[in-house]
Amino acid sequence: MSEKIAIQQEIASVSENFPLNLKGDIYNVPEEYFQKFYLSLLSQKNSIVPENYFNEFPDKIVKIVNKETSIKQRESRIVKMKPFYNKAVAAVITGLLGLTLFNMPFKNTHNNFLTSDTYKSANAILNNGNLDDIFNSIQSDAAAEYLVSHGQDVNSGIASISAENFDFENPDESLISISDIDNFLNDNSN
Amino acid sequence: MNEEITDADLVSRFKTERTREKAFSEIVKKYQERLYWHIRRMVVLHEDADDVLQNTFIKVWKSLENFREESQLYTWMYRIATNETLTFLDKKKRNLSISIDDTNNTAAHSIKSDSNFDEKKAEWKLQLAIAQLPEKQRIVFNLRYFDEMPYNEMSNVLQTSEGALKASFHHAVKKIEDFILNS
Repeated sequence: MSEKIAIQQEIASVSENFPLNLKGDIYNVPEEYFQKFYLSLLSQKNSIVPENYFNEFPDKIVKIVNKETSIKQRESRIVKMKPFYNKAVAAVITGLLGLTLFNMPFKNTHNNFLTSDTYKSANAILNNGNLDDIFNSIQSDAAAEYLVSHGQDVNSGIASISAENFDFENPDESLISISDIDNFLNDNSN
Repeated sequence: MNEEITDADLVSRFKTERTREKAFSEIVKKYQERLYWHIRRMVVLHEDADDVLQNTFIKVWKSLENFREESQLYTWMYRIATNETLTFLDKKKRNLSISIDDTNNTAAHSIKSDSNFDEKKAEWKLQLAIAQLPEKQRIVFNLRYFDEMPYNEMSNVLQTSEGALKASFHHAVKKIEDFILNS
């Protein structure tokens, strides 16, 4: 016995006057609704938030905040030390360039220096104009280590800062006066 | 030869990453109309039925991976659709701040507001009579009368004993008969 007939008999056993032939759907459905339904479902499906997203979200945020905080702490240490190291490293680079200038006219080895890696690196930094970026990226520990192991470069740098102060427009004001030289020579003669 | 893919096949294809999308589209095409009408008879308005149907299939997409095939695919989907429908009707009640008794009036109101509504036609009278039933009795009646669902399958969908479902259906038939005779 089909389910349809079983249902009719069941209804008839409960109610004699029950309408059995009113199963047609009377509600309207927009045209092509079922043909287009899957497409509209796809757009919905693609915007589904992954399972457990909101449960895991607070932990994610806490992790990000912790990470940001530790980066900021490290950055703040660099900022604090920056003026000193900036000057020191600037002195080193300027010193190297200064040495080059001094060496060029007097020594035959200047060609070796011009092709050295140090010169090339320094030159690239100056040409690219990213000196500030380089300074900001230097960790305090690394800078300290460098200054300890390259003391001579630092001295050269400081010397070249003095050379930088030389006023080429008014050389007379920058040079020691003739009388001072005479006095020095007189005081130290014999 | 036009061989219909079995539900077990569709489920197995869904569980394979490469064939998942295709299997899902086949499942939607196969069951969208049946589930739509199951939902529409309860919520009455098309826009509401569309929302509930979409939510139903989204739930199917998210849960089918873990479907253990202890029940048939279509009774499992009917269960999801029924739960989604009841959840929707609950929310609607809360949003409108109306009592349970007024819910049926709201359903009747929605039926009467349909552009095709004709109170002289027996089909519309039947819909108004069904709207007077409590929600769960409406579901039982609709599944039996319109979907011609056997009690054992209905028992799977509604997680209720067959005896209780039969009694519920008989009560519904009596109430509808009374409503039609007295209206």
